Amino acid sequence: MTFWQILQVLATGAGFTILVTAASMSAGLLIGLAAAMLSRIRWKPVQHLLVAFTFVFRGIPVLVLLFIVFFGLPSIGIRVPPFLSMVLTLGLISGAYLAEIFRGAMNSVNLDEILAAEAMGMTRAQGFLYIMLPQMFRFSIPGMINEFTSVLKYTPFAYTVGIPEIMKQAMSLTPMIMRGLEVYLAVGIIYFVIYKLCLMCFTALEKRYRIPGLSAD
Amino acid sequence: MTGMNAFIHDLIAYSPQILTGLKNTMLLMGIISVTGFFGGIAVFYLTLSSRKTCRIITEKYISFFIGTPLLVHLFLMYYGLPELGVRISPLTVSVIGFTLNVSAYNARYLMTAFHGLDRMELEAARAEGFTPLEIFCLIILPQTLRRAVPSLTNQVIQNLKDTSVAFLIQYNDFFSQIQEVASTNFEFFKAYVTAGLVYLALVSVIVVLSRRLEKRIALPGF
Repeated sequence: MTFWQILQVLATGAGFTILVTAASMSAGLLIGLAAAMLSRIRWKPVQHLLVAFTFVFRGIPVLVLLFIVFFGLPSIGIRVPPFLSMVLTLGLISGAYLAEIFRGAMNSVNLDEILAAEAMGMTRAQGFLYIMLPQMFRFSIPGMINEFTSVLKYTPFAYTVGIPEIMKQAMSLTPMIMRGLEVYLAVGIIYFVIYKLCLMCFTALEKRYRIPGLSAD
Repeated sequence: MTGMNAFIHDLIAYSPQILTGLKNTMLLMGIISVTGFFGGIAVFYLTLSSRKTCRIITEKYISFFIGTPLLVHLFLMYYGLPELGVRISPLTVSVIGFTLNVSAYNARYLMTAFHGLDRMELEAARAEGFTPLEIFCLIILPQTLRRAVPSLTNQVIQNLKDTSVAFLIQYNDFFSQIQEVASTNFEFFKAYVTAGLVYLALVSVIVVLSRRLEKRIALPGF
């Protein structure tokens, strides 16, 4: 088996890796956005809840949360399928980090603009949707890229719950051909290629929507 | 409630094992935090090198380790190296893998802090006759380290959480011991939640300590 063939076998798992990453990142964005919007509600119980949420999901190791969801919940009667467990775990953890990123980005938006929007007769929802959100997303791009990278790097854990992604393919291939060194080197290369490709997409997107003179600092 | 009592009883029965695991987790976290700290400084020094090839190689190193999963590096060493006749223990594999990773991250944080530095100071130092090494040790490092403290302490928290990965290469850490307990009494949910709570408690301790450190080294008006 040549190195090229090894790469080809492993690449069959890349689809699942990308799927898990994309689904987890989407879940994380939704959860993070929801948490960031809730943080604008000045009601004590909500604030306490959000503090607890970020503390728990930023403090718990990914592997521990994954095991709680996939192996733990069935013992109290809730069965979660492997893919959903992985997405839920990574979604909650990246959501907690993204919430902080979004919160910081919201604070960077000039509040006078919101005031001006209201003076122009926009409703609060319109002001949020058309003035706040577009700027907030631009400000949070560096943080979002960081978070995306961590999500991608945590996807190999999916093999522990039986999702046939790159790592799982590597682990079934290694005992067959007895060349772990090449196999895991190939895994590293594939991950790096995925990482670089996604980074290029992000940079292109960021350039496309960039507004001259508007940046996070 | 009897189930809970039985579970706590099990935890106490297995406490010597669990404590050994906890000790191993702390040991790994301690080692990689220190080696990663100094490794990060070394890599950061190389990124400031006046040789272009050196800078490019360092940048490639950082980008590779930030872009690929830690688990792959650990598996590469643990399952790959024995083919070359090199057999190393899980702890050594973890220490090497984590150090390479954490150094890359720490170097990035220091580079970010360096960008905020006043360039005039460096020029002034050069004009005063400081050698490049002196400039690095006496002018650049004290300021960048101080600015990077929040990121560096965050990395220590990350290190603690990531040590749980090491059980996948048969390192007897805290999480692996909790799994042993769970596999004997089948109380998976309670066992893993307990593990999660312990990690959260340890993270809180590090957070409190790092806040103290930040206060201690803060310079007024800096």
